[in-house]
Amino acid sequence: MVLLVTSDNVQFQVDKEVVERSVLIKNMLEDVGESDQSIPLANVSSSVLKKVIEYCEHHRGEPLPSADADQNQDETRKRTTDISEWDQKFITVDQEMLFEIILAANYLDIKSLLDVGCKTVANMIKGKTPEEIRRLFNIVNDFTPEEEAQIKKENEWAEDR
Amino acid sequence: MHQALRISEILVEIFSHLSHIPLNTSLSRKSLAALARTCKSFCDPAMDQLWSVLDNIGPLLNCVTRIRPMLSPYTVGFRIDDSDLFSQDEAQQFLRHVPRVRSLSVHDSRLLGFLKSDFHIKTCLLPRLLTLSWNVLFHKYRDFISLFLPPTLRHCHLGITPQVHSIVKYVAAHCPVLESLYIVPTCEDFTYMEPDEFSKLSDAVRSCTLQLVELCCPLLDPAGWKYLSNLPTLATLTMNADLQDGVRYDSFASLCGWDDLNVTPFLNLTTLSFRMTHKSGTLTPRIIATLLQLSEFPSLKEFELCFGGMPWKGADSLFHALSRFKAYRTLERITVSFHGPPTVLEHSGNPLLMIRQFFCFTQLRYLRLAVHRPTHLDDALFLEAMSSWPHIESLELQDPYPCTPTLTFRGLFAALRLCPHLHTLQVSVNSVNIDVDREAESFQHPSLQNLHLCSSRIKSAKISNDIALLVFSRLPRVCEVRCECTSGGWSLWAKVNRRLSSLKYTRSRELS
Repeated sequence: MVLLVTSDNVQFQVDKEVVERSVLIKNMLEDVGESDQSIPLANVSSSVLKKVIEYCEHHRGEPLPSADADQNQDETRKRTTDISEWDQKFITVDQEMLFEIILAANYLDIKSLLDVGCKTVANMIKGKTPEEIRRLFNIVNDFTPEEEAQIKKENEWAEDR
Repeated sequence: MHQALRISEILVEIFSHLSHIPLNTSLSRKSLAALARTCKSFCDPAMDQLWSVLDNIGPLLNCVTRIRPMLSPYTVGFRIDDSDLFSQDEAQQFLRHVPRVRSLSVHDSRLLGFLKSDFHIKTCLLPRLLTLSWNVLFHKYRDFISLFLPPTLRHCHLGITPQVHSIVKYVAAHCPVLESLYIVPTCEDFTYMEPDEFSKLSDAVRSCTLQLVELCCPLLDPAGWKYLSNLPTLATLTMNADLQDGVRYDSFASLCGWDDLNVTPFLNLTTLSFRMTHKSGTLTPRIIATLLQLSEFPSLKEFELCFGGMPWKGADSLFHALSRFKAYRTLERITVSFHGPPTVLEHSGNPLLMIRQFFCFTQLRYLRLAVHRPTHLDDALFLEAMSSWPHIESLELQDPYPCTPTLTFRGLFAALRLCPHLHTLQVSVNSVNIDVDREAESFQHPSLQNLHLCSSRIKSAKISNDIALLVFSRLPRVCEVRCECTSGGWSLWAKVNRRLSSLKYTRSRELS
């Protein structure tokens, strides 16, 4: 078992096989060797880590994507609609939690979880106008009207079809 | 805005999923274009994805303010004259997004007119291009290809373009790390091709990088083959003669010294295909047969032979060569397909011999035979086949002749016991009499899902019911039996499938 300590100081005892889905933690454990020392996760809160552990538990034993995965594998991974039923249910959370999971997956280096989170955001964006995207994610438009018009002109070929 | 959307690697990850919306390039592009206009931090990563794949050079030209109105879809038949040449400033506008382009298709030669020789950039225009597809019809634009050939180019597809050998030379000279090359010339190229041009194409292929992993090209001469056989990186080779007239190829090939071809290694070749939509001449099969027998192919896993039509003499020599194929220890997938009018009457040999030629491939997982020749499988031969291929997963034996099959259900199930991994089977079975007692034993095949019984005919509704019960009890993963029958036969096979559905529904109700 591995002891993880979150940013809000909550401790989690997790099976080694489960936490090793995180490349960051796996590398840390390999560097440190057998030890009872806890691993502090300063960038992850307890509520987010709970979700991350739930994901890793469910996918325990599945093969991890290799660093030298070929391009075809990469292409398949990038298809937005390609989210399994369980993963879709798992990632049905509020927007704040969704982005926190993405941040945690990025920090902990859990490629498959990062994929699920990013695919979900990509699906939310699909087909929306700039204004709708801004409203969806509370983004301020920092372009001048001229700058925005210039980008629109240059990308006309993509919007016309 | 959440802080996750301020991290560029996360943005790249999200946007990359948008650039791969299957079957909907338009939605993909619209979404990325919208993201580029959302805010400044989204602009660059969205533009990188949006501009990474271009179907033509129009979008790049569209960045030049003066040219833009000429490219409007409403402007028909524009002419380019000297005043349309770019100024220094306009060249910079044109080059604005070129570092983002990773894959480009060039096919509209009118647009190339804007890049005439006094264009201010003389070297390659697209420094980060990885994939180029070149389909330019007019020979006068041939030299323009050098503008699109960075030294880092990995993949090149040469389509409809005249004198393809000279283009291949360009590519070979400019792209030292090229990994895949597709040469698919026009029909006219071959119609008017002289024998020396044929050698030139072979010569041009020989000038290519030693790092080629994938090559698709027309049939070559012995020197071309020798060169390819010694390419240490070559993994996939397709001799694509779709537009190549087989008889004309024969006339060229007959001038070459095939007898001098040495034993060749093809050390790392895993996939070898021959494709020819025209009917072959007599020499082509002989050449292929020679190559199959002489070459080692120690790593070959997949072999494909697809011809528009072939004289039986040629087919026989090929089947014979296959039985002596040195790759018999490694081959896992074989596809042999001869289309065109049936030529069965030309054949006078033993029809049973054909499938026997494949028994030596003990690692076989996939076999598809679609040749205009009856397979005439009987119980003993099918059993022998299945015992020869313990790893077989898919077996498709297309039989275009609606004669009464000699393989029985008893023989089918006896052989199925030997191949637990089989998930797809296409074969003709004698469905006139059901010779299996389904109560007598409890064998169930664990994997078979797709069952296609070709032109097997049923004579009565009772037989339909018996077949449905048999499939239900022995092949639990089969939901539907496919077949190719005349209109009368269809209704009885439809009955089989209706009964099968009903049995499966009742079973699922019982289980729930």
